[in-house]
Amino acid sequence: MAVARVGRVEKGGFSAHKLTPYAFISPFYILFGIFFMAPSLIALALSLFRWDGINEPRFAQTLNYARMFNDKVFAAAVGNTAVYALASLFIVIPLALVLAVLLNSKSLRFRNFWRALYFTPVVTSTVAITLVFQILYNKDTGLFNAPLIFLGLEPINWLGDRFWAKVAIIILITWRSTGLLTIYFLAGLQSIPEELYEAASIDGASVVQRFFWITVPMLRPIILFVSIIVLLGAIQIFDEPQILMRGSGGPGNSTLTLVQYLYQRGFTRLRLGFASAVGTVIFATVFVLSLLQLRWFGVFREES
Amino acid sequence: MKTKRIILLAAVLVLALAGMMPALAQDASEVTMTMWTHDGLYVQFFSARAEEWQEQYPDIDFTFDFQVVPSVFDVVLTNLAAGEEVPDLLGIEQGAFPRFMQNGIIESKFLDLTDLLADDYDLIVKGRHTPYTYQGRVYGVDSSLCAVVYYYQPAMFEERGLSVPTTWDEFMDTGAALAEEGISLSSVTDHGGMFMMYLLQRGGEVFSESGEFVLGDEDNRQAALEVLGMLRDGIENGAISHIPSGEFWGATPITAYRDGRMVGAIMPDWYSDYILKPQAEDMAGQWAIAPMPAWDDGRGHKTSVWGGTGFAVTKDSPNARYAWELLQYTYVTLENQLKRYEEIAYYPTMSAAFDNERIVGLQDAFYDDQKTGEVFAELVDDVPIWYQSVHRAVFESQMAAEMSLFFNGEITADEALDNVIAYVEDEIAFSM
Amino acid sequence: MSDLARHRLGVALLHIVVVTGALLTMLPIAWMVYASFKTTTEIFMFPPWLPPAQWSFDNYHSLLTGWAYPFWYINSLVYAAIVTVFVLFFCSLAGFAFAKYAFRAKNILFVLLIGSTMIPFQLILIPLFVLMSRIDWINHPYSMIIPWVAPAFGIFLMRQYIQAVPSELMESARIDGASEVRIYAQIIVPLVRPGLTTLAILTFLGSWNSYIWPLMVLRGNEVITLPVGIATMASQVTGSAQPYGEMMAAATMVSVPVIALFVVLQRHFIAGLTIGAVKG
Repeated sequence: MAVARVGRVEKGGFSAHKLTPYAFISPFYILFGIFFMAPSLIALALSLFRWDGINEPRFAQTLNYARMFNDKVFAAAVGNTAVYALASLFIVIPLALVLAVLLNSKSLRFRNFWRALYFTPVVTSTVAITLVFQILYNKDTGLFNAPLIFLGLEPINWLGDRFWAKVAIIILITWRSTGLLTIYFLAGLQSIPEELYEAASIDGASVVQRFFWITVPMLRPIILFVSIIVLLGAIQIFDEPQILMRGSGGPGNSTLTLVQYLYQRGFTRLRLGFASAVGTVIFATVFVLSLLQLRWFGVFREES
Repeated sequence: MKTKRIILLAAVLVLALAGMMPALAQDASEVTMTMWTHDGLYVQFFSARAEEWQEQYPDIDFTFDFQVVPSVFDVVLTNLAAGEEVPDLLGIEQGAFPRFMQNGIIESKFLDLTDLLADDYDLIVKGRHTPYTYQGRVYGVDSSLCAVVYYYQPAMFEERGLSVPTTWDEFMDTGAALAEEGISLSSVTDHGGMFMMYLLQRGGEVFSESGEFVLGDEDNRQAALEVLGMLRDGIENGAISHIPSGEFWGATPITAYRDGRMVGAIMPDWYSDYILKPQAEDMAGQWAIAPMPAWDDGRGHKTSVWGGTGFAVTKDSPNARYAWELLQYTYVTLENQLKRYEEIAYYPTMSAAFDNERIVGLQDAFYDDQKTGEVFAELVDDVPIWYQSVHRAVFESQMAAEMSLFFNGEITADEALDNVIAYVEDEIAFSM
Repeated sequence: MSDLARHRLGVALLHIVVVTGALLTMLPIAWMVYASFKTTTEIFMFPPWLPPAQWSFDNYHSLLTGWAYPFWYINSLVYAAIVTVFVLFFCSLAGFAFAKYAFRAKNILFVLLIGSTMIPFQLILIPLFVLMSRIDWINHPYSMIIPWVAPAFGIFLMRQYIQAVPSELMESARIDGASEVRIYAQIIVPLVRPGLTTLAILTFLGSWNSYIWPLMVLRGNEVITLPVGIATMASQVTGSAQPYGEMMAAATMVSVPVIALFVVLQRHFIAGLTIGAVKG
């Protein structure tokens, strides 16, 4: 309440206090407005035009949207992207959460060392590490298939099979992003009072029960924050499939993502208006999803 | 006020970052010529020729800034969109040329070379002009003939008393025999361009001379069905390996050659120095070149064509004249076409060059001193013509997606073609 | 089983899981370092763990001599560092305002912010590039810095951290006559150091890894950044001598310093987070 009061003193007057928050956000918003909002608005407006980037744009009404919703490749890209998003939400987040709990355990020796190790994939260069994975996924000589080949089993066609190609991308994403999410969760775990666990132990709760009864509910805000970040990231996946599949959509477009679709249409076919329409749809979808999440998260509630 | 101070600080930070522009003045007697391309071999060859060429201008101090730029066409088109400078010379890979055909970008931004080529136009085989032709005018000079041959390891045939297949029927029979040992003769990948390569050999075409989509025409469709059928037969009987497009250019085929699991590849001339030699140096002397298998009924061509990079000159550049002169010197003289072959092994585009001893007489150690030029000399007059179209990117990416399903046996050739044709026609209708 | 035995078993299991996971995580990185000592041909030999015929630093040597690698490295480092400093300042300031003040249009401004993180960068690439061109920032260091110093995500993150700082601290400071700026500088900033460290690492990595933008705006072998440089090497690739060995060496040299930096910083990164507990 005290906080809320600060901004509202001398209503109507032109006080320093009233200006303060604006002063604090203005450098950000000036830069943000010039270098992000303006280009974004232009890009969104272009979705109603045909534009090759070089000649004059031509007004096209909603033709871009009509074509997009009729395009089976768009549908495939939506499907693939949804798979990545779901995999991120339901594989990467739980994995990171469990890992954070393990890495937070007092019984673990050299904790900081292990934490650092798990974080290392985050700090590698995307371009470089994707090339590494491309070699590891090689059907005949890659490291991932080597055990299968030695056991005399059929090697997996990681980059050539429609199912395994998706799995390959999901493994890469999981490898790259789990460490970062683990750090967010570790941060959250520090704020759970030790007494809660002690009390639960005395009541005879098992490790698993303590995880579901205390850790998960207490981390709910962080889980939601992380899920928004993850969702945003997943919907905008571009680099990994683009590099891994050498710019193609993978076998039968099985790894093509929405942003790759946007990029192909925009740049390879020079249909920037159409690409803008794709971007607008991505934007609108994620915006609604995130607002729902944020509302649940309670971001719009004033602090009490 | 403290608040003011922080506003001030922020303002200073913003201002400190803004302003100051680099101004570069160029002396008239100093010329910096720029070139972008995706292939380092071109940089190497152009740099060497530029050194010779500049000697005719003793008064001008030339600087040659030739670079390999990743994603070069995205970069160029973005620069064109902003009205930024693009290089004086641009190597346009033929697969990217359709982007520049969009709404006549090529015409407004690049020099029409048709009249500049003048009499030289006819010295170059026609099929090497068409990939860079827009509305009948030529905008690029190609870097190699791009004729297709069979690269193979002769020992693998000799050891088994087999001979190199010369027709597709022989190819299937030989393939079946070797498949029993887990050996394939060549490979395919899901690539629309590769499909066009096989289709052109059969005499079919995807686009007409005027760039219309004609795959649905009866003759072309028939040829396409035959080609697809042949490729799938090959995959099914083991003569042809199906390699994912993410692996096709890398180590997978090379390792298969080295381990004796694959005999070779049916690929254009650039496959030799761009892919094979650098990755399989250790196999030097174990290779040979033969014409690709022909169709048994004699229809179609002895060879096919795929690829190429046409060098174009930026119209508005103050150096356009020099850029064209350098290009002409480097690519449109017989002497330098021969040198290009000697230095980076890209075959001449002038048919006259194939009478020259420096092409047909050159022994290549990588191919066990075979006179590889002789093979190409036999083919040069029968290279099919690849017509370009603004719709090619749409076709190629959809074809690649359908090829993957088709080669896996999930759909029939008819279904694959129907899907592609319907999709491309939808996209064409949308683009009108 | 006694409690003690069960506890011991649990601890053993914990270590087994953590260590196995860590080994799996490090496997690709270890393989990358390993491969950087091999030739390209050896990289693709089967089985993949075959040692090189001769351990050599050739890849590193040709990297440092054959390419403008040191330049790329320094460029990347400088851009990432400068961007990070600005981001920390702008985002913590604005995040502070969003976390601790009520003001008109706050929610709208915040929604604008969140919304903007959902626009794929590929979409604004051309308009932003055109803007850069109009103000003559193409191939100018500014284009690598100024558009990037105000990321919406950073504000979101800082807002979350600053919210956890008890408002009582601010109030008592105000009673003591501290100005708002002083509250920001002397109370908020020290207390959210872990948050700032997190943001610093993420921003640094973002800049360090960015590819499309530097590819578009920087021209010239000695002014490009590491990811573009590596892509330049790789793009000779679809073709001529795929320098996989050198690329692995490059990737190793890209990653190792950042990993080292993280090991040094991670105490701030994680340990200081107990701050969050204060909120209650």
